[in-house]
Amino acid sequence: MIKKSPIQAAVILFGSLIAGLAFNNFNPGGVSLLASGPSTSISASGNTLTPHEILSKTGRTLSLAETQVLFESKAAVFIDARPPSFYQAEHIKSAISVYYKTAGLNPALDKLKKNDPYVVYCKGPNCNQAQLLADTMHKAGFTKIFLFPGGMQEWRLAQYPMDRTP
Amino acid sequence: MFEKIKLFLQNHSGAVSLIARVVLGLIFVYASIEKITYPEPFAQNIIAYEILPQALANIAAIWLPWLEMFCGLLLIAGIWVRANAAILSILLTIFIIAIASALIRGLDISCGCFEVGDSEAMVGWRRVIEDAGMMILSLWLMKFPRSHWALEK
Repeated sequence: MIKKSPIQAAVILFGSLIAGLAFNNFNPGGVSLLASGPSTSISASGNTLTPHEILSKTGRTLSLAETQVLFESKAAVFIDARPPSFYQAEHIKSAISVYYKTAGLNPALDKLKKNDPYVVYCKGPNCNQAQLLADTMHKAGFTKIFLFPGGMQEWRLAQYPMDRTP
Repeated sequence: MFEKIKLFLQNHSGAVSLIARVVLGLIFVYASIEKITYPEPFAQNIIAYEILPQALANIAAIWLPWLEMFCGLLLIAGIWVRANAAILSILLTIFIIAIASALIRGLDISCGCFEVGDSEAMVGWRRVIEDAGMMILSLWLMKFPRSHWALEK
């Protein structure tokens, strides 16, 4: 049995590599085998919502389409609540970084106008960093805070403009 | 006391190995699912450790979750237990070194252990201890691969 183990281990290693490559090939969120730059494609034209309609809605949660409208019209400032290393690696284009854990101490918040609209996001539907940051901002007196629960996951899948900080 | 525990474990190695197999298997299958679904955020997790360049991080993000899935499923089924345990021992050693080095370097990053991207689960010494615990289980399985309810007799 011991003599067979290296062969079995090799089969497992090779098999998992093949499975990973095959799945990645068909996975819409798959990664490039080589280093890749940020996506810059723009789409989602023909949306009927106007920025004013979106900003005046009673709910504070935005869909991908609504977020994209605000992005295109530059009607809101986008804030990335994730750790700085994730922001540097990839973020919604023109978004600023306010890490939710240190938001109370972040001088970037002091520079923002309290009555301007802000879209806060983090990784995706399963993260709560955007909500925590929104709570902090609300306590600090900000009045128009919108959550984009889809976060980077939806934005990336839609191939909307992203950027990275070198 | 120590001798009694040792004797008990040796006398019940089949049952202990079964528990070790299933526990390790379930943990690694669970850990692999989100990484398989979202390889790009997982690649970012790997890059955040500042150990691998992006190109290698992408390959690791493609390969590693499937390796975890394969090893987990085979362990649960009781197939090629020693080989799987050996692979997991090596993986866990790498994880422990990566997390410990991140902590020593003061990196405030997400672990990338069970959730990918900017999850709440940050690197910490608790993760190192958890991995060390799993390492004990995998080393046990390398020494005592035979257990009850295994497909491979």
